Amino acid sequence: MNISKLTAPIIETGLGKPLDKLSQTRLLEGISKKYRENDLKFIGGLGIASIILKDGLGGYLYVKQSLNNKKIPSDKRKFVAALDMTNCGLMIAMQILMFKTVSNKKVQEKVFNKLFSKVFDRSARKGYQAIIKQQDKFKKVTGKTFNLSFEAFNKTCAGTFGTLLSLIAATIIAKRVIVPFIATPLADYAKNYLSKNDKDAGFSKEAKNTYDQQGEKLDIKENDTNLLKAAKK
Amino acid sequence: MYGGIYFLVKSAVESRRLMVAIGKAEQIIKPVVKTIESNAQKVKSAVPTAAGKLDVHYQEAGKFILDNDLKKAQLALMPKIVQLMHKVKIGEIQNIIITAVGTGMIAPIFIKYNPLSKADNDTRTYTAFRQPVSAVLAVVTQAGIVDRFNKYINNRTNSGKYTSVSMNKAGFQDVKYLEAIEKKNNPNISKEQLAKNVEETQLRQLQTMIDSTKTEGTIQYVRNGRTFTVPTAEFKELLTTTTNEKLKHVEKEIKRYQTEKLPYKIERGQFLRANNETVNSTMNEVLAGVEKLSDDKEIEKYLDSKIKNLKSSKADKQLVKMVTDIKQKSNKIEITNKITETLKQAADFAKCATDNEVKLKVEKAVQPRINSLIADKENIEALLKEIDLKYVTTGEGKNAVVTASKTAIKDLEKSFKKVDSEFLYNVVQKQIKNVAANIEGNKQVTGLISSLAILPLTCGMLNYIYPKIMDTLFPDLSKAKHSKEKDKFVKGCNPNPATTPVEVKKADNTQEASK
Repeated sequence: MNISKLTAPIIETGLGKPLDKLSQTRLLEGISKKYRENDLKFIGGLGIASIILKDGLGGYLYVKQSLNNKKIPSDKRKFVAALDMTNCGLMIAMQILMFKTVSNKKVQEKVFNKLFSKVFDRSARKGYQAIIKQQDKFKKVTGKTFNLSFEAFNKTCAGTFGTLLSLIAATIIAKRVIVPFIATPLADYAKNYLSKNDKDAGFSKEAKNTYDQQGEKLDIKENDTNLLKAAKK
Repeated sequence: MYGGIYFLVKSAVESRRLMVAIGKAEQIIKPVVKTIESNAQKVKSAVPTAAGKLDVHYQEAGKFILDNDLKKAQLALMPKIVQLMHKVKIGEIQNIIITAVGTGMIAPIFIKYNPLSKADNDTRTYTAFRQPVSAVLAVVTQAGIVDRFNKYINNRTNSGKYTSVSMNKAGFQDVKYLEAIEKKNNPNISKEQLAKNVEETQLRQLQTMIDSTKTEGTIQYVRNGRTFTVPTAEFKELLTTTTNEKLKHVEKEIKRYQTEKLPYKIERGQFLRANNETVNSTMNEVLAGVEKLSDDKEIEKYLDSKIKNLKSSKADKQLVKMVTDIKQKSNKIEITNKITETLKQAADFAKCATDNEVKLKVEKAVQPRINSLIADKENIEALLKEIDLKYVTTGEGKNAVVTASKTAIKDLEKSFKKVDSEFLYNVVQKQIKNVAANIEGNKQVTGLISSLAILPLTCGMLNYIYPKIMDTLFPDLSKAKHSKEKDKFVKGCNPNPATTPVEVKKADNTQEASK
């Protein structure tokens, strides 16, 4: 029995049709229009909003669950939750910063053009054109066609470079090195904040009070640690 | 449970209805599809290879092959680092794995060995181990769920399952989708043959879309037994957007000529007239220097030193620019041609008596190009009006309806050719880009929804699995109460810090002894 044939109509009804209906809603048609127009401000804003929602909700859930997770030892629970909290906050801030800098397409293009200017500048382009035109199939290619193709090729290279830059700088260095490095000491302060309303455990009423707070002061001489002896006196 | 049974029954009923509807549709569409497929088969043998001449049937979509071939040729000339960047493919799965490696192996080091943190070592170690557990869970959920979800959307759009035509890539399918189909049909296919087959399929699909505009007045294609027709209103928008983009480009060129190129040429001409002797002697010197050398690199070095000398001797900026322009040429022949051309220009402008005469001369030379651009602009504006006449809009806003005859594009073909010989190719490419943008926008939202939906699951799994792993693998870490914490616990029992504290153990022993 082919399982995929059985599950296909279920997936289509449970997932496919809702996706189809969602794509026809006003909200998604509006968003699609902005993407077609390449409205970078809107696309950037949507990206940032997604980061804040995902990481914000994730941070809230992780912190809440860590604080209430009795299976984590009590002496470590607050620190675990505190690190989740600082990690979440810093991750959101770092991703927004990366979004506007290293992961920003315009910034990536600028960095790419600076690093590879000699490979894609006018003189290099003229050189490539001269070499390529020597091939039979490209003899009739006009300067305009070549330039348009070269600009598109330049953009593709810049895009690939941008993806790699984002991966190394943003994903690895920023999010996995800088964020945990700063989040860990900040977690100490966050832990104190989470512990600020902690009350003392207190004592059972049946426990003997060997430290008299209000009554007679016990005659305890220095280095005399036998309290029973002192109490009997 | 009843809900689940109802859901299953409903799915079965829906599938049955779907099968019946498909059966009926097949009876209507089968003959049409057969005709299209037989035409495709007839020309398949004549489909061009990269080296061969393009079949006349694919003339209009032929730019696609040329663009692909040009890209390959350009890549072959690039330095190795650029070629390597192109070879490295960072897909969704690779991204997930690289992120997980960073989370699981790099982040814990900066938590455990953090010199700025005041937390005790055990606590930091215990907390650091949370990262690898989180990384493994991320791979499982992201790769297992999110990535499969995205693949499902890609398959859906490539196979044409969305209701809206502009959400389907079925007209011009993705390379990866076509490769998967080819591999399924022919598991032993070679890499080169696979790439060739995919390119040919995409070429056929492009040409089909272009041809359909001439017979249907809009983009139309058939895929998996369903006919996809771009609504007339959307097609009109495609035509006007493509035309307006062309208009923008021409207007930019006209402005560039009028505000930049013309003043620049006038300034150059006036300089050549006023400094004729200096220009002649410099150019002749450079020509003599270049002719002595044979190697292009040596020529470049020589021109660099020449530019440096001119700058240090505070020569006019125009003269420095002239030598810089000469250096931009790619080989000795082009360099010597440029120098000869500059000398000829200098001789020409030397004949002018005044700066005003230079200005008039330059304007006369450049004006034909500006006039040609203005004529292009007029043609484009005329095309926009003709599009409005052929694609008639009645009503306004949401109630607007666009109607056109099936021969509208055929009637407009001559006007298209005046504006751009590849106009219809560009219109179809615009549709392909629009569909890609629509999918991108949808993915951003559905991706967010799926991530938020999985979050409670990932969070719950982490908080369940993490303490269990730590208790099993590192019991000392999870059970040990650090001495600092112990001290705090003990001090917390002493409300009077002035009193000498008693060790808890000794007090316990004393109490036991008294019993």
